[in-house]
Amino acid sequence: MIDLDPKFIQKIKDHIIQFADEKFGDIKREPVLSEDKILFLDTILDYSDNLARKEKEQIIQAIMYVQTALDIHDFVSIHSYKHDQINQQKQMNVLVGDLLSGKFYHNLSRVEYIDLIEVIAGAIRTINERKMMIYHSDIHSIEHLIEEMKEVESAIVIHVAEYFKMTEHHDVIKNWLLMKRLFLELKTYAQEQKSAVITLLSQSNNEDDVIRMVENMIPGIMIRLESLIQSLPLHLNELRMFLMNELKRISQKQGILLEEG
Amino acid sequence: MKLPLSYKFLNHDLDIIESELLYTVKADHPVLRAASTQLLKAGGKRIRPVFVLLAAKFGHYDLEKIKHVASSFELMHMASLVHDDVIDDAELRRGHETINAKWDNRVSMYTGDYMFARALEILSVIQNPKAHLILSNTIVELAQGEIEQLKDQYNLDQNFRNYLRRIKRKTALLIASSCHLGAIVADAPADYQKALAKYGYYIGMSYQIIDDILDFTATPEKLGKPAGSDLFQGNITLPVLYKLEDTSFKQRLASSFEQSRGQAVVSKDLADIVEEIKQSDVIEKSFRVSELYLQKAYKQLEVLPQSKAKKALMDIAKYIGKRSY
Repeated sequence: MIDLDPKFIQKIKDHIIQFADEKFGDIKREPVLSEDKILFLDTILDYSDNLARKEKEQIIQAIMYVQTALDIHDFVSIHSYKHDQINQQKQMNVLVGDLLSGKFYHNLSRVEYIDLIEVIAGAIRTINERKMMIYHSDIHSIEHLIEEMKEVESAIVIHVAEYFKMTEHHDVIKNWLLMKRLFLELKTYAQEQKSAVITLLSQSNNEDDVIRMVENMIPGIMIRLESLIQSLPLHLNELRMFLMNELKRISQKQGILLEEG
Repeated sequence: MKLPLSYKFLNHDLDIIESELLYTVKADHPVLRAASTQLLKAGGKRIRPVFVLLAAKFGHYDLEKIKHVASSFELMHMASLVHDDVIDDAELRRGHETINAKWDNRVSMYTGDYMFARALEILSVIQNPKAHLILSNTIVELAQGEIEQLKDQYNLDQNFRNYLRRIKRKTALLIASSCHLGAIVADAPADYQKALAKYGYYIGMSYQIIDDILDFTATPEKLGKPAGSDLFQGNITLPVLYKLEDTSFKQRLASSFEQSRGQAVVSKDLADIVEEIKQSDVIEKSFRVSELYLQKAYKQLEVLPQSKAKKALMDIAKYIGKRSY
């Protein structure tokens, strides 16, 4: 039985942000922590009967450490600056990522989950291969790019799900995290004119067209998600209800009409 | 004295580890593969794998098992170097173009993370929680050492304790762990494990102090970067700490830092300060501290039985004391 606990999700999130704050109080850019990833990890680990709550917490913390590390390393500026504030920001982004990666390894070593370390290391390898592909524009089409992004976003959660032999909701996880990522890209672009996806696609397309293309993709993903969520098995009923309500809330906010709606 | 001669008997095993390393970083993406391979081929003394193998000789030496530990240590070390080069905006390492200089910071970040992942993947073959706990703790300490170094840049009010803690985290613990894990994975007796870990720690401390001395005394050709680079970046190392006991020097350095901080070109003042350190007795004083650590390292070896591996560990200690680059 899946037991969704918003307080637990918040606790994990707070823990990582507090840790980063203690070590790097002067960091300007706080890590973006995906509550959705914590939620999915929580449901995956709930599925495994033999985990004590404390152990579950340590494992999720460890996984979120490394996820955050990889995300932070994406913020490292590609430019070189000599001894100014931007340079220090760049240096801190490298170090905070490295420290969080170390914490991931340390946490899982403490609970003696050596096999899980290997599984997540495999996910990190895949993520960096795919990030390099995206970065070097080895992409044939927007569909190809979206597919690569989907894999990068979900690789760690999916690898963990496979390790715990929970495979029923892979498509839900992948599409859900992709939808959230696209929303985040649009928001970041609107606020700071920064988005890896929009920048990449703008190399061969008009920027306004690219934004419209990304906006137009989201309803399709949401409609697909609606059907995937409804097909979730009975033992994931609580997750199904939670995601459906959340999907409806997002669709109302965005003015997107779902089949049910 | 050349370092490789003292452990010639390991050459065959080191060749296997070299092939293992090159195979491990064969990424699918051509840039990731090229960057990782370039890092490995740039050379280096492979001192961490050597320590793993030598320590394992005091237990049940099984190359099939121990090669994973040795390769992992080298990959972890490489991963940290490629990220260090981003932090320092370094253009050269061991005389070769860095990954960030040849490609850019993003490629360096992905390459470092990729190598870290590969190190963990191959190390997971070792199902010994104690070994993983020791190494993971070292990785956390290593990152914290780097953070301390960054926070202490241009800080002239540091003491010797700050410096020693920083080099312990930055260098000594990884060498201590390579000796420790080599012994643990080979199931060496507990007192050997302890002695080897301590030996590695003392050697690491001595090694880093010598490195910090050589930053002033070695030629740019041997260093692969300009002499005094650490000080130019605001890093206060042991020779500088000794020199800071002179208050007039401290004032001059403070004002020189003020002028050159943020500048692309090193000021003449700072270049003169580097020359002054090089010519002063602080170099000798720093050598003496390094020598004290070496003596402690020799002492640890007394516990171990006579063997080729023990002789090699002694030779490495001697080499570290005398190395010129």
